Amino acid sequence: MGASMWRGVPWIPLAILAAVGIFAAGGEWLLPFDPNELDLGSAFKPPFWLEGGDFANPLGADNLGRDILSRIMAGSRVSVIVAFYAILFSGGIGAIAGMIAGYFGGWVDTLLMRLIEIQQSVPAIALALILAAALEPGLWTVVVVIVLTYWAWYARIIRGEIMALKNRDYIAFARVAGVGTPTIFVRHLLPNIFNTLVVLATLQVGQVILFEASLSFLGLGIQQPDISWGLMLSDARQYITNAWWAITMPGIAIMLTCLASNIFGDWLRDRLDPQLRQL
Amino acid sequence: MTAMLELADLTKHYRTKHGVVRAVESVSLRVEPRTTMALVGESGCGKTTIAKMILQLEQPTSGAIRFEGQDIATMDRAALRAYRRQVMAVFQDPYSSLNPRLRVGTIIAEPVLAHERKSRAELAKIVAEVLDVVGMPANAARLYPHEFSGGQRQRIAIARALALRPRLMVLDEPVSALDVSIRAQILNLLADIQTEFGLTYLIISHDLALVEHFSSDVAVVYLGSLSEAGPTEQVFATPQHPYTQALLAAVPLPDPDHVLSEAAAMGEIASAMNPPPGCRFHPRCPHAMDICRTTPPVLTGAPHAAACYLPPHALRDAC
Repeated sequence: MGASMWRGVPWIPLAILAAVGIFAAGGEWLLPFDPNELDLGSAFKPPFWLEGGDFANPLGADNLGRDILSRIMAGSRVSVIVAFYAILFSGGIGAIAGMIAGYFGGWVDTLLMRLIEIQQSVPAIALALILAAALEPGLWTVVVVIVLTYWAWYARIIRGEIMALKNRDYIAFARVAGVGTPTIFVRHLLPNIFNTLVVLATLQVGQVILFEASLSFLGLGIQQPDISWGLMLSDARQYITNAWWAITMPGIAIMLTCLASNIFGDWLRDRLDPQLRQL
Repeated sequence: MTAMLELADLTKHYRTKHGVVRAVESVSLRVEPRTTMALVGESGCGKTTIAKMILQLEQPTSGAIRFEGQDIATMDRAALRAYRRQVMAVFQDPYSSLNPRLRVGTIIAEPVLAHERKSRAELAKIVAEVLDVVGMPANAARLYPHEFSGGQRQRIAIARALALRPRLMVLDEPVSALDVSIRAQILNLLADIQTEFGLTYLIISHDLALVEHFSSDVAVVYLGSLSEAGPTEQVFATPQHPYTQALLAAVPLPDPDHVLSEAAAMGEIASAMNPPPGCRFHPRCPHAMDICRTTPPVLTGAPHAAACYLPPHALRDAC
């Protein structure tokens, strides 16, 4: 541990993720402009390196003259909130379901697996459409859709891990010694799937951000005047020919964040592999 | 005197898609206090299933397991808890039997925590005591299992089994995963502990040389049923069942001129899914008679019993 823990850390992805986190937390105090402030005189102002651009709006302005950099920074908050709650609930529900199915087997397992199969046969976008119609489209609808889509992914993987774990002799010994089932779950199963959960959660960050962007782009997610990266893409789509930066800049933000979380997740997976760590 | 452990017509059948697997069929056995009973047999013969039923990891299909005369199937919750704290196990693979995420101190304290309320200091004292008994330093409690060798891990597993001072220990191939050079140390440790704490052992093994030196009694299991049982010395000196004969003849000797005797069993062990009628060993037996093919022999004789129609002297003459 200590210094070796940071061996080979992907610094650039980590820095990108940290920046997104800081923008989301810092919010209003960091923004150069009010992200919703209209300035029609600066409408379609290009980024600074193009003719007509300046450092007042370094990444340019959109059709209503709103500062794109400020809007990207403000939009990170939605991405972080959605990612946090979606991962917390999908991971939590999935882990509990997977542990129960894997440990007890039998009809509980069969029931849960059928449920997962049914869930996975429903396209996520169709589910989002139904929920957006039933509920109000918005941030929490996005979280619900993502949780309903992803818990099965966690449950499947955790179930597999538990099925391998439950045949270990230390579980058999605990049963022989009269240790209760809840204690076996907390003491023996949870610590051994914790790494898997952390890695799955990290790898999910990118997918959640992309999912939120897709839903908001389709009008099923975040609504005006809230700001999200997907909504920015949707707003700027019709101006793609005369102001490409308005759609490209949030697109790059989405891409960089997803890439960073995937690279970081891959590193974490290798790092937390106990087989590798014990070398 | 009441036996420490008594198995009466213990039977375990597994239902599978392809039919019923008769893993254990009518096994009866007595284990006296402070003795060591060895279950020997080929892999897949059911000896581990017997151990699992004693440890309550599997429920018998029929038959009874009596601990000091009391049937464990009829025990109430309190009696069952008392049973669980008196019966502990040491498993074969010390890598699978210790949770890699827990410190050795927590691992050893686990059975104690399951049965008693103890302060941190009391637990630490118990852990230090049993670590000392198994010849490990007290500071091992702070370390994780991966910091120890296979032999040390097995000592930790023994310490854990000993923490509650049980009366019966089930040893499931306790040394077969260890280096040959370590085996003697662990076996000596187990023998010392048995004397010191007055333990009763049920050891499962396929290593006949080990059984001959370590156990006081031996039961030979073939395809789920007992073919021979008795005091180790008598069984090894005068085996009465052709299967025991074959097992003993198959033990390799450090003599290049030694030729494996004809008594060695022919062919492979039959399937427990479809065991042969009559004596389960008859298809491999060089002495099989007509009656062997139709009627299963009964384990007879005391203390040295065998399930065979051949009179003991006949078998000796035949070899």
